[in-house]
This record gives sequence, C-alpha cells and structure tokens, in this order.
Amino acid sequence: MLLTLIRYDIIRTLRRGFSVVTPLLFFTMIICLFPFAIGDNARLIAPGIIWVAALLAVLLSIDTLFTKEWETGCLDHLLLSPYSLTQLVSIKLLSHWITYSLPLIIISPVLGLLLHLPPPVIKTLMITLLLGTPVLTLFGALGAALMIGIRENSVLLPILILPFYIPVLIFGTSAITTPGSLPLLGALLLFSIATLPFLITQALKIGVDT
Amino acid sequence: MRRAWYWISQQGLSTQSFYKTSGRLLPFITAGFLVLFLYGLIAGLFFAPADYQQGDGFRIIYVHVPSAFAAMAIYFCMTICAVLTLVWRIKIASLCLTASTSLGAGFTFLALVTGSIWGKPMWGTWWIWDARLTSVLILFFIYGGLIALQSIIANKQHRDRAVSLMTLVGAINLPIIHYSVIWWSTLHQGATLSLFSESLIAPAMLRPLLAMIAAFMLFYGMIVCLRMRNTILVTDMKTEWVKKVLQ
Amino acid sequence: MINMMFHGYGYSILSAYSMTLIVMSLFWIVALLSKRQATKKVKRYLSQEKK
Repeated sequence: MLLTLIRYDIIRTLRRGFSVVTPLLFFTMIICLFPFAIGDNARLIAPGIIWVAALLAVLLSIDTLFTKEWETGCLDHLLLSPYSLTQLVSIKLLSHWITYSLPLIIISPVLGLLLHLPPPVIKTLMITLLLGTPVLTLFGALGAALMIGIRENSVLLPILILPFYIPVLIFGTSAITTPGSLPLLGALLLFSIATLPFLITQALKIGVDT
Repeated sequence: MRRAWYWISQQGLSTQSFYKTSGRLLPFITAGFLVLFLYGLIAGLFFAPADYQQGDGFRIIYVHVPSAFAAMAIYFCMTICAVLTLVWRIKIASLCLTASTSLGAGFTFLALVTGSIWGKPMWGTWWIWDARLTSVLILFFIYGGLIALQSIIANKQHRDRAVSLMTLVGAINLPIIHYSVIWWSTLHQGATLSLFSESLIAPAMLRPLLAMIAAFMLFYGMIVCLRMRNTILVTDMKTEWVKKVLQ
Repeated sequence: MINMMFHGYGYSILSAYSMTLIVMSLFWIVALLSKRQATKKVKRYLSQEKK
C-alpha cells in the first residue's frame, strides 16, 4: 500500500506539469546570480551558495503542500479515515522530497562544476544535501501545516521556519570542510524523522479543528 | 483528588480568580522589582569592585546577564504554558503565552545589544559568529516568528494552539544555548553562576547580579500580569464580575 | 566625565544601561496605557448596556 500511495502521489504531482520544474529552475538561477555578483571569488564559497539556494528552493516548493487538501476538504476525510494521519503525512513528505528535492541534488554536480568545485568536494556536497534536504522538507512541512486556514501567509512561513533551517545549514556546510560534522547532520535527520511527522499531524489537527 | 483537580482547573485557574489574585499580588511585585532593581543598579555601578582583568567594563554584566537569563527563562515559562494550553487547554496559560512573546523578544534583543556593547572593548568586535551568540540570535528569530504567527491568526483558539505548538518546537533551542559554551568552546566565556557549585565570582560582585536577575524576573511577572489583566478585562466584558470590579 | 569615572568604559556602560532602561520603561508604559484603554473600553460598553 505504501508504494502505491507514493507512486500515486508522485504521478499526481507530475501531472500538475510545470510547477514541478519551478523550484529546480529557481535553484539554478539563484546559483547563477552569485558569479555575477561576486565574480571569480564565488568558487571559494560555492558549497555555501549551493546550500542556501537549495534551502530557498525547498522553502519555495513547500508552502502549498497542504493547501489543496485543505481547500477541497480532503484533509477532514483523511482525519476520519482508519489510517493514521502520521503515516499518511510521512508518505506525502517522502513523495514531495522525491519530486522536488531529489532533482536538486541530482543537478547539483553540474552547478558545482559551473562554480569550479573540485570533484571530491562535489561528492561530499551531494552527501550533505542528501542528508540535509529531508530535514528542510520536514521543518517546511510543519510550517505549511500551521499555515492552513491562514490567508496572508506568504511571508509568515519563511519567518517562522528559517530559524530552524539555520542549524541544518551550519551542520551541512561545515560537514563539507570538516567531515566530523557529518554524523551530527545524520543525527539531526534521524531526530527530525522521529519527531516531526507527529508534530505536523498535530499542526494539521489544530488547523482543521478551528 | 480528581475533584480537587477539577476544581483547580475550573475555578482556581479561571480568569476571574486570576484577576483577583494578581490584583492583590501586583503591588508587592512592583515594590520588590523597584527595590531590587535600584539596589542592583547602584551597587553594581558604584559599590562592586572593578574586575582585575576587565576593569570597569565588566559592570555591563549587571544588565547583560539578567537580560540573557530573562530571555531564556521567559521561553522556558512559555514552553510550560504551551504544554498546559495544548494538553489541558487552560485559558490563563494561553493568555500568559501570548503576553510573553514580545517581552521575550525584548529581553533577547537587550541581551544581544548589551553583549555587543560589551564585546566591542573586550573582544575588539561588535559581533562574532560564535556558538552562544548565534544560538541566542536564533532564539530572537524564533521569538520574532512567534510574534508574527500570533499577530496574523484572527481566531483565538487557533492562534493559541498554533503558537503553543511552535513554542514547543522552538524549545529545542534552549539546551543548545545553555550548552553552547561547553560543546563549542569559542569566544564567549562559560557560565559564571551555578546552582550546585561555588560561583566563580566574588560575593561583592555577585550580590548585585543576583538582585538584578531577580528584579528582571519580577519585571517580567509584573508586565505579564498587567497584560493578562487587560486582555481578561476586555474578553470577560460581558460577565457580572467585571461589572462589579469596575464599579 | 562619565568616561573618566569608569576608566574609559563610561560610554559603553552608559549606552548599555540606558538601552536597558529605555526598553524596560517602554514595556511598562505601553502596558499601563493599554490598561487605561481596556478600562475605558469596558466602561463604555457597560454604560451602553445600561441605556
């Protein structure tokens, strides 16, 4: 059932067409801005640039995560369904990560080459992104869950969620220079996988109840 | 036992009884704050001996440490209120929560500003991205997010529960701030005060500091009480007891 | 003069303390003002109700 749901969710997102590519384009364009602004020195801070761009792209893709379900009333039905909402939320997040974050990680080597990153650094960068972007998706989803039922939310979500992105950014970028931080990033990932789906469910319940 | 608990949650923690009790306590809190604050101010500025390393510059800690302490203590208090709101839906807890956010942000701001004023002559820089400073900055951002969240949601119950949930998530930052000076020993010095071992500070310097910390906490209690009372007065406008209170 | 009194740290001390005092008194003043406002609002409501 799990695989079916993931496949169904991914197909449904892909059918939406261009919106899937938007965060990817955004990611690429943000990264291309830096060489223009900073010049040749951009390669010195390239891992940081890619990380910040990935963070913003995830934030961009996530804010409408639950809006459709909320507007169509689908969420109320899911709350009443026999399946646990935490499980459904986790599946939804997994498929969101596959459709939106995984492409970012896949094209990051190309962008790393554009910024003159050496191949071994690109490899560690990809590993940190692989460990870090799920955390970004999870925290972003918590914000998105709190946003349902609130109208003027375009700036609120980044303000609410960015403070929690800072530690991920710190561990993610420091893991590139000092490999000792990589386990910390992994611990952060495990911790957020363990706690956040539950909190997201609670946030959804708060939104639906009131 | 169960009945007692029921009574506490229905009567003892009602807005009316809070209004009455806090009205009786407020003069004492205000007086205590004024006495301790004035003592701490004067003793800290003039009677405490100058530090042998930092000279008179160390006197900034009499506003810096209490602000930082208050910033964290307020968040801790908010976390407790958040649990009480989410689990037992106690009304005065959610009132306390929403009244606390901007105070917490104010004290975090003070801690950051006085810290950088202290850092300029001591470290030679206004700001450095050290673990303690960064984690307190994150605390400030979290407070900012909470204020934004609570000001945007119109429905009161929705607002209280959403803010509570976010407060709980942000509480993860508190131990990080506390242990940041131990885990990453960077520029910021370690804790000077400790409950269980002797403090690393001379008694003549310590007394005004403790007085100031107590004064800041009393100030927090005072302002929160004032704010909660204002909100209660307006929301309970249509009840009999408000009529009696105001006549 | 203040700077001399605290051996070169006077201005830092002055700015830190005044900042604290300003922020704290702002909180206090705003709380007292909103108390006045709240009382006014409730009294207006009560007088309207009487009519």
